[in-house]
Amino acid sequence: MIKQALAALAASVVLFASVVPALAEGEQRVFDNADILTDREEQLLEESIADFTAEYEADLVILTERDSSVSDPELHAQDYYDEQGFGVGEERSGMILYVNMSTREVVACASGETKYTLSNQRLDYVVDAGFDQLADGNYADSFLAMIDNAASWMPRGEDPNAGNPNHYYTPVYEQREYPVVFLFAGVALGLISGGVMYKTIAKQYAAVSREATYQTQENTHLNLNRDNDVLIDTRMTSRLIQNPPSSSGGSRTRSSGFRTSSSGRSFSSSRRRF
Amino acid sequence: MAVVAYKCPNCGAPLTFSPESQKFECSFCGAALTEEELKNIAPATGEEEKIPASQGAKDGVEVSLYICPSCGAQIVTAPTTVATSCLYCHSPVVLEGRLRGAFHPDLVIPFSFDREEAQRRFFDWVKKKRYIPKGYFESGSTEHFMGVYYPYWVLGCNSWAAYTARANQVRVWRSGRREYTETRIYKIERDGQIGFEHLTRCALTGEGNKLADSVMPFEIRKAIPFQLPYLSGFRAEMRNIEQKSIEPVFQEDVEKYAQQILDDTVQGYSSVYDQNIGVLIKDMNYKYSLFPVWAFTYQGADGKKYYYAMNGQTGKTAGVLPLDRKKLLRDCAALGTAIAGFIALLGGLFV
Repeated sequence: MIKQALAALAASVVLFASVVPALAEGEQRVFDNADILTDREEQLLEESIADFTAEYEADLVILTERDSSVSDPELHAQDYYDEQGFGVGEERSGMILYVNMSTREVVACASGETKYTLSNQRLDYVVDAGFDQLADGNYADSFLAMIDNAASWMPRGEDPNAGNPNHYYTPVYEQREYPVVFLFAGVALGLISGGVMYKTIAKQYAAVSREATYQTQENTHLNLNRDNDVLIDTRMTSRLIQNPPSSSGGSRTRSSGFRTSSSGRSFSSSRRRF
Repeated sequence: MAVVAYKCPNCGAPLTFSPESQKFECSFCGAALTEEELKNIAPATGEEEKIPASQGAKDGVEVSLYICPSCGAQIVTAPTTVATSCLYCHSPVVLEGRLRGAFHPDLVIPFSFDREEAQRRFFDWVKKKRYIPKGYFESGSTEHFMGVYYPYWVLGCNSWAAYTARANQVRVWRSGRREYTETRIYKIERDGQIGFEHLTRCALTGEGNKLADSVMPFEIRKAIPFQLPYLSGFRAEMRNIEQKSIEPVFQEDVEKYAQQILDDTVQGYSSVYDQNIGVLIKDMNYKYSLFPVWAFTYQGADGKKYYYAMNGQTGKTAGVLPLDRKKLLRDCAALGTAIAGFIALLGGLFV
């Protein structure tokens, strides 16, 4: 009986160990390299992540940096996730939230089984959920909002549109600064057009005659003796075409399907500029 | 035979030219005669008496006194009048004496439509104008509506023109991230002969000159050799601008049209500039002609008078129009707002 009890206990330990995320209690998941969070906020986020992981068996990592050399933040976040060995289970399921304060970009990526639940489209919603606070500088609240939103998707299971490049995402909310130059240009062009119309018509009404008084086509004939077009000069100029500027205020870059990290693992992702 | 009046062979009433039927009609008995038939009838004649400038009634101008062949009354006209009507018996008279020699017209274009048709065409024309004050041409009245043969000089000539200009051809293409612009500059040279027909200018100075020029062009190919009877029933004026005086005006016209014609031969360029032209006119052939114009005044309900002329052959109308400024401003504001709104929309104002 004691042997049976011990066997049962050992089996339980093994079972528990395979199910419970490979997390030692207190293992860090918030890496505030950009130093935008207070210690208290980091602790709050760690607790929130622990709850998330416990409930949904998916890892969750938060990384902040100040690094202007990062040109592909999605790939950077995915590689970081892989290199640090994050993730739950064989599939290394989980997600990473990455904020780069130098390039002002926020990225959410999901791996393993999690990428089918947190698809590209759903990750857009996750990022949207925390975007306002992020733009306002309330970083901890922003991360908490994103974690809550991610948590709201987890019970729904796999997204039927996951990995479907033809699935079109409609942003929940997209904030753009209005280019005021269009307003000024519109007013100026409107005034000019109205002015030109007024002057033209008033001039027509004040004129004695409004039409041609001699028809050259019907009443003339031309016989050219000399008809020369001589090339006398050629000039060449060139200019470098600038890359189109990135628009401020939260433009979104959309991946149509799963992306692949440097290690070859696929991720769902969402990226936005704030 | 200084004054002639054409009489109906049936009843002796005045014969006038009818634009509607293009015949010479008697308004009393309804007889209608063609030009050929009229040649067989001798017109009634009257004499002319010239009153010297010192005895002239107005501003020391010489006036001519004519005796009406119908009633014997004296008819006083301005020096340029060649057809009018007797003030007393209203018989149309033609002052044949003023159309002799160098003043005998080469061509005439008869009126194509009558006074009623001219008025109808005028009111149809103004109805199409959006910015005339509403009801303006319903509340007033046309005055002094008369058919007038105005004198014109018609010039045919040959010219030799030499033309130079510069023209640019621009080509733009991209290679990689670089955009290239190539500009080719050409020297344009043209010279040759340009023949002009039917250059026309009014040969009468005075207030109506601008209006008389503005109703052009006339379809001069339809002009016929001048015959006196066509003036019967209408006013007619003789010229007071001679060929030498009008020649500089025609020279300007020829240069202007020659440049237009040679500009049109320069094709396939993105811009043409620095045009220069020299024109030498030769083989000038002038024809003195009388062309039909309906001239009238419109007095609006506000008391303002507007002067109009209508081409008696084609119906083209010239004259200043009254303007409803409030309505025009309103439409201009609407256009400006629509354009401003569209541009603002492009900027995502309502996105």
